[in-house]
Amino acid sequence: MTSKQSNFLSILSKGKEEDILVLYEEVFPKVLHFITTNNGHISDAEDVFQKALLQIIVRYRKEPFTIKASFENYFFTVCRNLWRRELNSSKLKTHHLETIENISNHDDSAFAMVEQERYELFHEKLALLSENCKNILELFFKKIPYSTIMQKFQYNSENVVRQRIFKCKKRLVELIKKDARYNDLKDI
Amino acid sequence: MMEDDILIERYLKGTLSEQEEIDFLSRLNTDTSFKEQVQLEQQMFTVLGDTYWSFASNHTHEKVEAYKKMLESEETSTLKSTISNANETYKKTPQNQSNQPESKRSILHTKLILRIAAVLIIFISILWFYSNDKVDYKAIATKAWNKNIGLDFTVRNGTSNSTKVSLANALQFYNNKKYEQVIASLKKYTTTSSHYKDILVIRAVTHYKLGKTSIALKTLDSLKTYAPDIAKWYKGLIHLENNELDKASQYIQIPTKSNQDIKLK
Repeated sequence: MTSKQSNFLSILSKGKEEDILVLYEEVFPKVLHFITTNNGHISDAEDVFQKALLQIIVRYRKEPFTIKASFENYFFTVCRNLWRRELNSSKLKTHHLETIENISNHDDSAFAMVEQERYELFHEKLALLSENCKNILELFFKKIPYSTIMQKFQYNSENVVRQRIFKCKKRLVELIKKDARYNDLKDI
Repeated sequence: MMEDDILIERYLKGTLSEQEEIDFLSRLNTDTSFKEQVQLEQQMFTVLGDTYWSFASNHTHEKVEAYKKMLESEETSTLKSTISNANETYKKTPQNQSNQPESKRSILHTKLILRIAAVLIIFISILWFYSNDKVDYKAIATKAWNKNIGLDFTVRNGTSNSTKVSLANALQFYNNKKYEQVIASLKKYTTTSSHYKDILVIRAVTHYKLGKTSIALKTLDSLKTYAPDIAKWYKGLIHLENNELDKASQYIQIPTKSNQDIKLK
């Protein structure tokens, strides 16, 4: 058994310890490395890993979904998002996070799940755009100045950049709005 | 419409003038499709930008309720225990343990000596490091202030009302360092007002910026009831900026290195 199997998510959703351990063996070292090199401790990595597992299994049990990337990469992205969420959280958690059994704030866990769903929707649609649009929008959403984008893409003026961003963003918005998941997620 | 696009972008980047922002917020209250456009743009900046900031806030949304129900279920409780057990099992496997049993005494002795040597080296290194790394408390406090903890109310979702509009205006005054105007604009609000927690946060930080430290600390005492973590955070920062390290450390973890961030205690 390996996390590289196409049906691993379905196997994992059964919640058997031996399957969960496979994931620990194959992915935990990567998550640990990421978190400890981004202001976290071993206990944070354990906490995030457990929360990600819980999140994915609960989501799958509620409504089975498929993953386009490898499960390993997908799981790592969920962990990374949870850690970024933790780092930015206005709840100002300390390093000594609660263990999974003591997590009482179901609101926060539910929010993390819908935010992950929104993350997946937006990234999936962004990937459908042309390379040029994708690259420009990635810089735009990172609030890179128009002047820098102009130089990087060798446009003639900031106005041309603005027009291009407007068109690309319009396309992205159309794609997002067309997806049934958008209405489900927009008011959360 | 490109004009709206520019307007929303300026709003999200905080570059609207005072009047433009008032008009903008008022339009948000009346124009549903404009509100949806702003909301989506805000979400795209958050999700696709550099910083992933959680801003879901609709506790009663059907989807959130459904997840909460699942998380509270007996089935999920069993799953949590299984995950927790797997975590313990993983940690106990030999290759993941820091202390492995050894059978031979000589090996134990050698290991013990090596460990003592390692501890001594680490100890000396730490002493050397700290003697060379003076923590710039002012810089780390400034970094912590810039996180604007608790001042994110304009980006939260939910129905807008007059208090939210006042708060948004007050925040703009605060960002423009018009501190007297922040206090004046929020004067009418009392404990029974909606969003009172947000009002207390911005009042407290503004009083501090005005040099009224004792009023700021008293306001933070009031805030404790509504948002204890935010109250502790700012109390810690205020004491730290006033070089009251003992007091500050009651509320926050003060870094021992310049490249670390302040954490809540």
